[in-house]
Amino acid sequence: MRENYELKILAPDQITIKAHSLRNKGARLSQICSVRTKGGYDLLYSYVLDGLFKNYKVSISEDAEIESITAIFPNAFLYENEMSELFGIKIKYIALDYKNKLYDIAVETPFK
Amino acid sequence: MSKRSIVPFGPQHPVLPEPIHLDLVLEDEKVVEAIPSIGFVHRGLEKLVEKRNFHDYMYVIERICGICSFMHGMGYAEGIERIMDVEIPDRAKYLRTIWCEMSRLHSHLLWLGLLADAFGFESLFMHCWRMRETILDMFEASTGGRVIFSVNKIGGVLKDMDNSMLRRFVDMFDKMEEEVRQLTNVFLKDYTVASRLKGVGILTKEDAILHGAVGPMMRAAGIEADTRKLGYAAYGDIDFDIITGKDCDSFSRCEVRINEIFQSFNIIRQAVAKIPEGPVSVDVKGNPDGEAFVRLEQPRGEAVFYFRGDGTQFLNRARVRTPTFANIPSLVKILEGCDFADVPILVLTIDPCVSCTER
Repeated sequence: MRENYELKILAPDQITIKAHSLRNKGARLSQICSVRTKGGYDLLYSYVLDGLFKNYKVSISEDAEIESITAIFPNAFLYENEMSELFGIKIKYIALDYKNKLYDIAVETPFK
Repeated sequence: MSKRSIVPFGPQHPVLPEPIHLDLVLEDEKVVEAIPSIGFVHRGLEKLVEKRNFHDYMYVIERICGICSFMHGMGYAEGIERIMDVEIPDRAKYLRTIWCEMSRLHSHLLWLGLLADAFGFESLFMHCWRMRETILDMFEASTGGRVIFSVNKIGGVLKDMDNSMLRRFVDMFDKMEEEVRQLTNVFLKDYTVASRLKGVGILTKEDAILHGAVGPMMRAAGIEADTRKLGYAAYGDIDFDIITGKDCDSFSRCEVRINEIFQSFNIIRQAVAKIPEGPVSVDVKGNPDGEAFVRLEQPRGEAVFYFRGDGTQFLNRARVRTPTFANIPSLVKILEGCDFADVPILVLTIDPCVSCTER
């Protein structure tokens, strides 16, 4: 049996609003990741609310800056630092910002 | 006024089989803040998907971790099968379920051994790992590998277990169960274990949700969540209850993992009793075009897989959010306010797998 999950499109300025709304309902932030696309990135925010797996896809341009959700979901700091270091996504107001030193790997990051 | 000092913990420490670093901010003997650092074994395995044929990537993804290697391979297979709309034979679903539970068994026994070692219970540690060896022997007999199995494929599994082997495994698990019960009684009833674990490292239900805890970490906080209940592989045909704890402390986390060992024996017995005859794989043609999420319950908790393909033989993206990566914020939370002497045990109670975390 395959899981029926939700995958919706979200505008970049709705990231924190949606996070607030889900936090108030008791959701858990399950993961955030990014995918390189032509001219930008898709960011995928995944939450679990009452057992339902809810995913939100946010498409941004390469030079766009988004707002951190660490003030809403503290566990977002690892995901956001990872996206920032490995993909070069600009994220402001990360609660614990490693300044591209989360993995601190020997090769140049972000990977292009 | 207490004096503040910063004590580094790791990346090399007797309780850590793998490297992770914590900067512990102390006020006298109390930890007031913990700042984690990773990156000592980052291998860029997700990035490698862009350079490997999607069939070959199976052999890369199962090398994320030497303990959950089967489940990483299975998560990948289920994700690509979902994108390509491939339905695998029922026998393959049952075989995957059996190997999943064998992975959980050896992982939990490994963890119990490490916990015993951290207490200084050397004999207990060795007994736990001796029993784990038996399960690795079974893996070797059924897959050919003890750590990396290479038994999953897109469209099913590469090897079958005949019914005589399955019956022999059940007999071995029956014998092992009694022995495991005697061992685990030490963890559950010994005064020293209780004094080090009870009331230590409290993670409340609210904090577990807020900090994104998964697996036994989350269930020990009383949250009924287990992705096996989604019914992937053959779990939809298996009768089992979600095991939860009630005290939210380190002892609860230990208790949940011990109860999950007996649950795994039970699931394997059910799966062997119900496994249908038939093929174990189907041919898969074409390349993946689309995207899919898959969630699996690994021994350390929920793993999230995401894959995206564009119709070529190379995927655009493979994402594996491993359970330890999700549990690090909860570790930081339970370290706040703990005694410095409890830090090693608390780090162990999340059952850290740094290979998974770094990928």
